[in-house]
Amino acid sequence: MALAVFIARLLLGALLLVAGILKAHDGPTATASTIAGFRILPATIVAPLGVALPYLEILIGGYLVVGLFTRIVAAVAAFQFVVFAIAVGSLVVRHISANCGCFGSGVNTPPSWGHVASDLALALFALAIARYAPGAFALDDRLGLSGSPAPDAEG
Amino acid sequence: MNRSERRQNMNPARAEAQRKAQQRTTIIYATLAVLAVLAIVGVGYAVRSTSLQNAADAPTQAQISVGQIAPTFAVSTTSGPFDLANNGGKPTLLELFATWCPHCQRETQVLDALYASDASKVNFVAVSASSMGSDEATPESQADVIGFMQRFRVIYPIAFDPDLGVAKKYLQGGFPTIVLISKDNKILAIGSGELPGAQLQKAMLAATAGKAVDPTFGTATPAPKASGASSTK
Repeated sequence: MALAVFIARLLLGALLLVAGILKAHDGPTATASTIAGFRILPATIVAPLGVALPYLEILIGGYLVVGLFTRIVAAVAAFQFVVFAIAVGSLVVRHISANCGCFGSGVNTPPSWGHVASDLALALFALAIARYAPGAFALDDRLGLSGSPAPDAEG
Repeated sequence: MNRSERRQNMNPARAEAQRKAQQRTTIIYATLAVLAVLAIVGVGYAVRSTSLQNAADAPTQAQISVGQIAPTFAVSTTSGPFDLANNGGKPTLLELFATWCPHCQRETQVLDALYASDASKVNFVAVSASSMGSDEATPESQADVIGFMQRFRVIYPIAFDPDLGVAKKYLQGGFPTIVLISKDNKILAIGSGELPGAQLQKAMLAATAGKAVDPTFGTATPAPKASGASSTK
């Protein structure tokens, strides 16, 4: 199980790292424009979110890969994917053909129910990681943050 | 008895647990400190990067004319990226607007209706082109442009241009400036001020069919005179 959680952490972490890096590369104007296209949040929140979201994804992805604060970070990732699913679902319902911007502006994915299902599946994946955290090769274990004894303290 | 002496006299298991607890606390505080620094830097960066940096560098009159190759531009719109070089084989209707401009505010209804009926035939893109924000006092910001989109229920793709690069290439001295560009990226028509939807649509459909387009969108005054538009800010 520990190895499976480790692999799951790597996969989800890498996904978030790539998504965050591509958004950061696009810059805050592009990310904020994409978020504005969802027509959900007020203008005063959209611009700062355009800056914060890519780095939040990079941070969460990085923490998942190294297994630091795994349980809480995986829960935050699950929450984020649920928010994405709701946002994309609202686009489908309102027939708005905005770019999801999931992997930056270079990947123009039209909103669809399949996309919503993908986000929900990723949320479940993240929840499973949170449930069985931290998995193998996690800093949480090394630093005694997981509640289980650290490998070097076992002997 | 100092702390190290107390630790030496302590049960080894308890001392180890205490050491781990201290290590945990340090890591959590260090992480929170890093997050706090990132948040402060992020907010500063957000303010800088999502508002105009040099309001004095405002564009006024670009040197463009009907028949010439349209200057290239690429922007990030609310419907994704738009690059004139990749126009999808469709004509492009470009609007340069100011969030404070009442003509631009009224023109949103015209462009919304056209977008609803003709978005499959023509690329629509509206780009912010003023150095002044909606309060006409502070520099234009992305929040101004998004607020404009929400307040006037804009459904066509709209973009904040932080360096006014598109305005420098296309703005004709008044808001809004509307430019129709052919499939092969030649300028077909230029207009300033509020333009009626029927005339815009007539020009767009002619461009789609490859027919001749009225270079002033059928307005009496030749381009690039502004009709009732305010001065550029």
